[in-house]
Amino acid sequence: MDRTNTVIAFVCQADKRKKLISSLKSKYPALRVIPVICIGKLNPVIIFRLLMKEARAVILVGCEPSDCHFREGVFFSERRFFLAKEVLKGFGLNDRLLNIIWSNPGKDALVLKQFETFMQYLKETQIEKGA
Amino acid sequence: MINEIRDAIIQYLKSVMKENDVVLALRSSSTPGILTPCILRNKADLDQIEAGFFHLNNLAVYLSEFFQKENRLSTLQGYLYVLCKPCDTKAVTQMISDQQINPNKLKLVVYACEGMADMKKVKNEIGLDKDIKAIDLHLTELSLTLLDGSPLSIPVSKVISSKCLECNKEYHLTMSHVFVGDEKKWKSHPYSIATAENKVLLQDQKKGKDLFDQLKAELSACIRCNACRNVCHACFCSDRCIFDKPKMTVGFLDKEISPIDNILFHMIRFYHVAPNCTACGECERICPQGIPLSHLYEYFHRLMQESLDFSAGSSDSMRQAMLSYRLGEDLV
Amino acid sequence: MDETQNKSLSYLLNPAHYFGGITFLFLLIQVFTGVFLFMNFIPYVSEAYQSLIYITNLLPYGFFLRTLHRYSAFGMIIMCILHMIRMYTTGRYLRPRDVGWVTGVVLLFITLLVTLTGFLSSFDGFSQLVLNGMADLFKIGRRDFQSLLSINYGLHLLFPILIFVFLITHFSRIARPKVFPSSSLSFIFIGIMIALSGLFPIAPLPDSPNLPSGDFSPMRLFIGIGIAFLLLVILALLPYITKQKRIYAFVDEARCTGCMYCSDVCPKKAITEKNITKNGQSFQVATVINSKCQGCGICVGACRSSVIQLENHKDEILLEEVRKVWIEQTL
Repeated sequence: MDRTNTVIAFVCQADKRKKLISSLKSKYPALRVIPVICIGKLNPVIIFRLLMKEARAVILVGCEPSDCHFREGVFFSERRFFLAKEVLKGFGLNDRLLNIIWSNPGKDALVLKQFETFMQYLKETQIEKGA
Repeated sequence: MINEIRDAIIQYLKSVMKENDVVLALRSSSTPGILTPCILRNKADLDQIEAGFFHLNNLAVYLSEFFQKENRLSTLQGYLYVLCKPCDTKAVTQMISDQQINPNKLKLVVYACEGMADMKKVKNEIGLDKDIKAIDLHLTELSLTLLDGSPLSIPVSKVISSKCLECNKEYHLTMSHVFVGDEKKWKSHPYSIATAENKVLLQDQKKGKDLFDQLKAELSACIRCNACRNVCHACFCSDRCIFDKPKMTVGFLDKEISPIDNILFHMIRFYHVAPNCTACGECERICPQGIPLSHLYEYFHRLMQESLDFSAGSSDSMRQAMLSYRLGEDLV
Repeated sequence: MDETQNKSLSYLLNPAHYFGGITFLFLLIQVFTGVFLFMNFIPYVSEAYQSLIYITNLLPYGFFLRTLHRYSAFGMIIMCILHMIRMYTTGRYLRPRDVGWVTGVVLLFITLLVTLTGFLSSFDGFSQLVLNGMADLFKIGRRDFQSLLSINYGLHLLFPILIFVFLITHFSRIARPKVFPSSSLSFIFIGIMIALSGLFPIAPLPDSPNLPSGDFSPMRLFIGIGIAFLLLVILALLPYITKQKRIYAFVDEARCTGCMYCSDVCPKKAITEKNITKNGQSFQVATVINSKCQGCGICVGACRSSVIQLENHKDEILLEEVRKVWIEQTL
């Protein structure tokens, strides 16, 4: 299976991010947005599989650690994703392909700006699988 | 010296073993240099016990099976004595912290270890085309008899496991245990000549694509036998492992053996065990393909210590690194 | 080029996350200044006003502490209302957080009552109103200033005790509550309060105290309190009248290893141990307390064997969606 150019975004759904999701979908048709209840629910095992097989990059959008609707959930997932990135680094993969954005639901503009920068980065660099 | 330790252990066990006690230890097997685990219930059988230089096995891995899968310990009337090297006790402590072992019926017999052999190094020394008929340790020399009858002598310093060379002679145990041998003398044993602090790992030497290519090449030898998973004490899911669950296998990981699938298997497994791994090295020892898994577990062991200030097996009440957080730490 | 994160650098300084904690901080300021005033105020008719003059004019820092006491009271109510608004807009009053919300509403009511009884010390028109109201409520003659004073004083001391009692419940229903604001924020707010008290002292005492008389009708007071009470009752019932769809996590007990990783990461401490018997032997497994579960799924992310799942949202479903994505992409 060849690496596709799919970028998958998991967006935390806690506080009405529908506007963000719709604006992302309209702006980046190649981006697949999957809403989840809280990004703390995501098992990095899924992300590993995606990065190795189906996707080129994975972006996670979650609430800021102090403002998580579910209290301390994001603190734990912070450590989990840190370990996930370190695993990628330890295997020699580019850990920038797992991109985590912390932002509160009101700050859509900032999130979109970060998406823009990241998509630009992906386009510019000829990253092959495993580099 | 080694025989002395073995005799001391047997003597101790004979003195404390009671009617319903069970001993989990090692005895010699049909393969020279390899000891096999055994369960002894009678005092008369205790003479079979072997310990010392060829004690390569980490017996802690069997304990989770005792507790979860078979739970024989709930019906055990007496105590379970387990023979441990000091470094094995880290595995036991970590399993207690993960609530996989109940230390109530458990007693550890820790002894003054002088290092263990690395049978791969022995094989390299004698030549890969030759076989061993008998092997024994005499003080600082390993004397072998090859299959064709010829004797051979190798100094211990050449075949001792590199993990033992970096041993910091520490073990922390709060559960009930006894130390057989002279603890003070053991702490000043001359075999640990290197320290683990300035160790250079593969991830320091190579980065990016080079690192990935090398690991991919190494892991392409993997036949997905799951031996590393089965011997690992941190993999306590045993028969409930996600790699066995039919739905999960179909979803996450195919049974197909391809370089990418192999990498994914090890990536997922090391992500799961990283907080619990005590770097005992059993996975590398047991691998039938000889994959240098130390390239991976050493990296994660160091990562846990440096970034998250966590050392697996150091405390049986502190939960592992993924289950706590510090406010304001800017990890990601 | 590390723009891949967007952490709010100063979340420790952002007061919006600590409204509750700042309210508690102001409460502590109140208790601290209150103790000082308590030591010097004499609740007997002959000496009450004199002791007040003594505190205000003669004691060093007396006037400052009175000002601080009053401004902290206002600050506390403002912060309390902001805290409530934030909890409402972020939906943190719905079950399973309903007990926190209801105790919070009760606390607001008691705080308002404390403030009312505290106004006595200003001996102005409003305190007359309060005293008149109390006289009518407790059927005491309006000339019986001593009884009114004692009752007012007693209530003003009783209510804070009630506040602390309810606070215990209010805090205990939150796993890992943020009781205090971060130290930098605490200093900032204490600093603001001290500055305000220093710069804008309250009006000096009238020359003679305004004692209760027959002129002020307390009806306005009763109506005001009655309306406030009704509003707060409606607020308190909010979690029970809003429609809510709840999702719980559940454990596949046959496959659970009992490691309790899920229990450690649960924000609501909704997962505990349970012993089950299998083949005549007992094993420890995790079990979810549905009344506390808020359906966030953080336990799902922590489980190594994927044993705990959310209803309607299993990992398999997530994976199916992702595979659909891939299939779409390659076709």
